[in-house]
Amino acid sequence: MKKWLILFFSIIVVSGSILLILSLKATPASAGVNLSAHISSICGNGLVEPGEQCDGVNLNGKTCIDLGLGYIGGTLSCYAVGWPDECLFNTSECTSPSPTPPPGGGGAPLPDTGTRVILQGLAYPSAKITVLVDAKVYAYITADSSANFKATISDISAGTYNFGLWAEDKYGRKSITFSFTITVIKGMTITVSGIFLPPTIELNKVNLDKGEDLTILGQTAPKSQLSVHVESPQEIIRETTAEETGDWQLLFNTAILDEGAHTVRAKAESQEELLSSFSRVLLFYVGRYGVDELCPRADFNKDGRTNLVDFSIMLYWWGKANACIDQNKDGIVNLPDFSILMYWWTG
Amino acid sequence: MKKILFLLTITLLFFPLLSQAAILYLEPAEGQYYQGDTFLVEVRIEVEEECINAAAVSLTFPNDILEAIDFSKSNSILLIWLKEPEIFQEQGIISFSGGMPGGFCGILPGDLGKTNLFGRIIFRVKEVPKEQFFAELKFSDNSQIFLNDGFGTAAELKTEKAVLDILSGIPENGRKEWEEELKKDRISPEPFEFEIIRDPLIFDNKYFIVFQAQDKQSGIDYYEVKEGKRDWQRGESPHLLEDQELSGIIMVKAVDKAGNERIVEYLPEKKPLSRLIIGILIIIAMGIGYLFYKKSKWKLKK
Repeated sequence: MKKWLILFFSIIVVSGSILLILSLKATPASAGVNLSAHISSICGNGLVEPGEQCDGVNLNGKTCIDLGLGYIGGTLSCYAVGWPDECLFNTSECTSPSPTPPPGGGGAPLPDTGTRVILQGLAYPSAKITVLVDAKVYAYITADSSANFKATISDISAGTYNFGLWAEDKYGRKSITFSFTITVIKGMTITVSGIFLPPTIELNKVNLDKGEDLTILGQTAPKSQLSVHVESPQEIIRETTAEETGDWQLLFNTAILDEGAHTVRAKAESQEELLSSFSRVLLFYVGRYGVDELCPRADFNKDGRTNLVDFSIMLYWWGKANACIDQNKDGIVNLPDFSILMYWWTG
Repeated sequence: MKKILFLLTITLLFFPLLSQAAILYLEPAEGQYYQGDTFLVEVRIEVEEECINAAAVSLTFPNDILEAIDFSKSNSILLIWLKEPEIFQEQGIISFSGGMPGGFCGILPGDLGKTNLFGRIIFRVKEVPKEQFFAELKFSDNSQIFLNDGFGTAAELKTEKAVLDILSGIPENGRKEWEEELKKDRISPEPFEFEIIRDPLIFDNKYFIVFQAQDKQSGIDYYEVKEGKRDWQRGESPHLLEDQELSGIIMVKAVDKAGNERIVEYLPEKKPLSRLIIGILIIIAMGIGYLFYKKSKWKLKK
C-alpha cells in the first residue's frame, strides 16, 4: 500500500514538473518584460558601476600611481555629477615627473549641478527618435548610421518619471512607444542603457486570398535577428535577419492560416544581444473578411499623433457609441478602447 | 513525507497559473494605528509576465473607523487619469482609473525606487468603538487591469488586501504622515503647457483647451482656468472655452496638495483687422481722395 502511495505521488510530482516546464515554455515571450533595458549606472550614489571609474569619494581603490599613466604621486579624485567627465578620474592633482601638465582638470567649465538621466541604446540607422517625458514630447534626436542613440534629459526635479521613446525609420514607418518608469534622484546622473527600440513593421497588403504570400517588412538595427509572430488561433513564429542597412523582410504564405482576421508583430535581438519589445501589432485578413479601419491607431483627429487631444475626444464620447472612437468595435467607448489609446500613444 | 509530497504537487501544479497574473496590493499590508492617526496606504501593482497599460481600481474600507481624507497622485505610474480618484466616504469606497502610455512592464532592473505606485490614500482613524478593531482594506471585484497589447485585453488580476490593527487611545505623538509631507512640499508643480484645439468630433467644433501637469511631491490637487477678465474657475481637461473669439489671455493654474501653484498662459495673437473694417477704411480713404481731387480741380478752375 505504502509503495503504491509513493508511486502515485511520484507520478503526480513528475507530471506536475512537466506541466510546469511546459507552461513556462508556453509563456508567451510576448510578455515584453524580458527586455535588456536596465539602469547601468547612477553617478552620485557612491558605487562604482559599469561605465564609471569612480563615484564621489569611492576611487575603486585606485591612486594616481595605479593608473599607469606615468604619475609619481599626488591626489586622485573623481569628477562629480554635472562635470563633463562625471564619475571619471580627475587627475589634475596627480604629480607628473615631466613638466607637461597632466591631462584633464584645470580650466573645465563650471558644472550645472542638475539632476540628469541618460538614455542610450539602439534604434535603426539614422532613425528620427522622439523622446517623451511623462507622456509629453521632450526632444527629438537622431540615431547614428549604426543605429546607436543617446539622449540626455537634464535639469529635472527628483521623483518618479515615465520615459518613452519611439522612432521613425528612413521610410517613414513609426515604431510603437517603448516606455519605462524610473526613480530620479536629486543630484545624480542615472544612465539607462541596453534600450533597443522595437522594430518598425509594415505589410505589403492587408486583404489576402488564402494561399497568397504576405510580405512583412520593416527596419531594425543592422544584422539583428528578427522573430516574427503571426497570431492565428495558434502562434506561428518565423525568423529572419536584418541587412546591414537595418532593413528586414519576410515572405509568409497564408495557406496555413484559416480564413479570417490575423495579427502579426515582430521583435528583434541585436548583435550585441540586446532584446527589443514587440513592434506594433498589424492586422490582416485572409479570405473575404477584409474591412477598413475607420480611425486607426486611436488618432481620432487624424493629425498623425495619438496624444492628449485624442484622449479628450475619447472622454467626450465616453460611454457612448461612436464608430471612430470605439476602437475594439464592441458598440461603446469604454476601458478597452482607452487601453488601445494608451498602446498607440505618441505624445 | 506524504504531506510534503502533496504540498509539492499542489505548488507545482498551481505555480504556472500564478505567474500569469498582475497583482494589485496595498502597502503597508498591516500595521498598528491609534485614534486620530493620519497615515498613508499605497496602492501598488506588480506585473509578472505581461506589460499593462490601463487600470480601473476600486477598493473598500470600513467607513465607521477610517476616514479617507485624500488621495495623492504624486509619483504615480498612471499618467493619464481617465477618472480622477474619488472618495465615497458614506459607502466606504475609493475608485480611480487611468493609463500608462506605452505600457508598464515592471520595475526596471537597477531602479533605486519602487516605481510601481498607482497612488496613495490618506486615512484618518476616527473614533475606535472598542479596544481593538481590525480594519480590512480590500479591492473590489470590478477592479480591472488591461494588457498593453493593442487589443484592450483584460489581464488576469489578483488582489491582496491589507488588514490594519486599529487600537483605542490617543497617543501623545500620534502619526501625522500626510501633514508632515505637505509641510515639506515647497515645490511648484512641474512646468506644463496647454493646447488650444477645435475638432468636429468634440464640443461641436468649438475651441477647447487640453492640459495636464505633474507634481512630484504631494501631487496635483486641482486646476483653475481664467479667460480674459473673467474670474478664475475650477476646470479640468478638456475645458470648453467661453471666449470662442480667443480675444483675451487664457491662463491655466495647476495647484498641488500643499497649495503650491504654477500658472501658464496663452497670449492671443494680434488679429488682423476684419474685412468689414478694412472695407470701411478703404471707402473713407477713397472719399477723402475724391474730396482732395475735387478741391484741387476747383482751385485750378479759379
